[in-house]
Amino acid sequence: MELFNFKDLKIGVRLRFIIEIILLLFLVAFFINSQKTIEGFLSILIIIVLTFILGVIFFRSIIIPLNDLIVFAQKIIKGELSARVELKSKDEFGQLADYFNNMATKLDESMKMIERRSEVLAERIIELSEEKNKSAAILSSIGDGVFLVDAEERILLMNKVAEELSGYNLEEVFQKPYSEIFKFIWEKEQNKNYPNFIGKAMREGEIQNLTQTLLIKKSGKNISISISAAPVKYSRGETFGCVVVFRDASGDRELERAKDKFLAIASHQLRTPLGSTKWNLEMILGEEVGRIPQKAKELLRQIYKSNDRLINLVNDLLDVSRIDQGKTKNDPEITDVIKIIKIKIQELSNLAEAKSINVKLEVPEGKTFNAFVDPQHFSDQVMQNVLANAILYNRRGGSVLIQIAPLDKEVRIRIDDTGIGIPEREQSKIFSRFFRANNAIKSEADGSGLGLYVVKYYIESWGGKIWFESNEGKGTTFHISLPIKKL
Amino acid sequence: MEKKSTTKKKFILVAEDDKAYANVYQLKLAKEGYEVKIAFDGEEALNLCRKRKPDLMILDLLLPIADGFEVLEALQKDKRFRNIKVIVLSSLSQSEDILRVKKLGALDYFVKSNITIQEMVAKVKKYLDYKNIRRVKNKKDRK
Repeated sequence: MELFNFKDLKIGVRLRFIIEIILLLFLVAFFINSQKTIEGFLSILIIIVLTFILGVIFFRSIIIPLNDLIVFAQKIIKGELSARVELKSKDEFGQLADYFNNMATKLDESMKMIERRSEVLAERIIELSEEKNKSAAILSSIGDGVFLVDAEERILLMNKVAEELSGYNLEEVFQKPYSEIFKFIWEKEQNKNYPNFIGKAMREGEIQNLTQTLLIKKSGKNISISISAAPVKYSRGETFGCVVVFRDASGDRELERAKDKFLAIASHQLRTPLGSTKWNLEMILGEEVGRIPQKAKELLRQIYKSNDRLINLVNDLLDVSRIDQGKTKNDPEITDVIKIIKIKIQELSNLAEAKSINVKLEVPEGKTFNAFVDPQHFSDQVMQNVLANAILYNRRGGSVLIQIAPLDKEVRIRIDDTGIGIPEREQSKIFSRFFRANNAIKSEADGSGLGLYVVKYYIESWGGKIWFESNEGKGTTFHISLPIKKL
Repeated sequence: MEKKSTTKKKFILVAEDDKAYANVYQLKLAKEGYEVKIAFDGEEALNLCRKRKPDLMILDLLLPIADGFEVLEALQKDKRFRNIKVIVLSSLSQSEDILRVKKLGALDYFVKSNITIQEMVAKVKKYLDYKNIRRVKNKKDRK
């Protein structure tokens, strides 16, 4: 065991130690030399040699560890973070080496951690870019037009089909408000305002679907489309934007038009024989061509009724097909509502008498009520259907009460009947096409299930409303609200 | 002439190609005391007009050779025919057709299958008594 290790001394101490020894040796040398003997010379020589040796020892004790440190530092710089410097001495070099080793260890650890993290990151990046490619591939291979807007309704993305259908490309529309690029209009009523359905989808958080829409392309040409807008939300529930999908519907529309055309032609073709049958039966029943037995008359009356049913069905089909084709002439104007209702009641008086139904009109005396409606449709479709329903679906000996009230900005018509009513579970469907409530089907009255659909269409086209309350078996009350001026 | 025509049976010309309708027109209107002639196409209708000017013309729209619209146009073009009163009874019911027919000078328009014979006769009576506005105008012009 070493009691004393030169290398364990601090460098300053070491230097002092050596200088002190050299000074001591010089003192001894001077002392010996003062006697000017050969031994004196020799001793000086020995001292010089000793001094040299001590110097060498001293410098080596500094240079070697310094060198080791330099080598070590170079390795670290080169990135060999596992390198360590081996200095067991307890001097500054030893400490420095310890610090360096510690530093290298820490560096090594952090580097390894960084490496691990960057590996994970790299994997994520690969995954993400694959994901992105996947999404982009999905988006571009969707057969429908797709575009995405942010919460401010600016376009962020659109796919190829959207580019083809609209005629724009993503670069030129990016971040522009969608309304500047995608011009949508109604197919039938092109002047009618098209709603901001994308804003609505985001506000209400519900998918909006629209058909009967035209998209005006960049070229100015129109294309028939069906469209739906679905809000996109962050997981925290905030709305991020809206994804809009639209589809070229020209094929569908073509088919619809062909169907409507067929319906129109077929209906006209049907009308001629139905109408002549009606007139010929009327001639026979009116005994214009000779007396006929009572029994035969009854049978003929039955045929006459069935024939009338067919005529009504054809009329309803034509009405609906015209509505669907957007071919109705609908010119609202200031119209005297009472006058039309009075004429209609007169026209339906035979129907009412046949079932002994008391039809009563209650209006404030001497007043006129003007509404902004198409007089023809108000008479032939709206009042015809509503009043005929109130009579036909009534009980024998029942009553119909029509009341009119002027409200601030509307004319309100109320029609009460004492009829079979509308079953509660079917009330939501009563304005649907071809829908007839169960009790209506079972009743003796005939109907196509198109009347109220047509009624609602016209009333709403003028900006009015229709609704009802009903108690099955007791009666129904219809309310009609009509605007008094242009929308 | 005018005095004579009042004592004479009124003449109604019916342009109708459907036999089932034509029969009823013939039977019923004759029974009501009118003289009735049926034309089965548009051209025949115009020819009959030339032979004898009807007091009222009942016109169908979908007719062979010349359709109802063409008949109305021809009546409008010819000075002698301008004051013939025409009502249209057709199976067509499109608003465009109704408008077009009225622009071409028809007094009224009915969908055949939607009215009864009673109603048809009532219309005929109404329009026979109806003073044609244009006729009044023409008289004034002559003065």
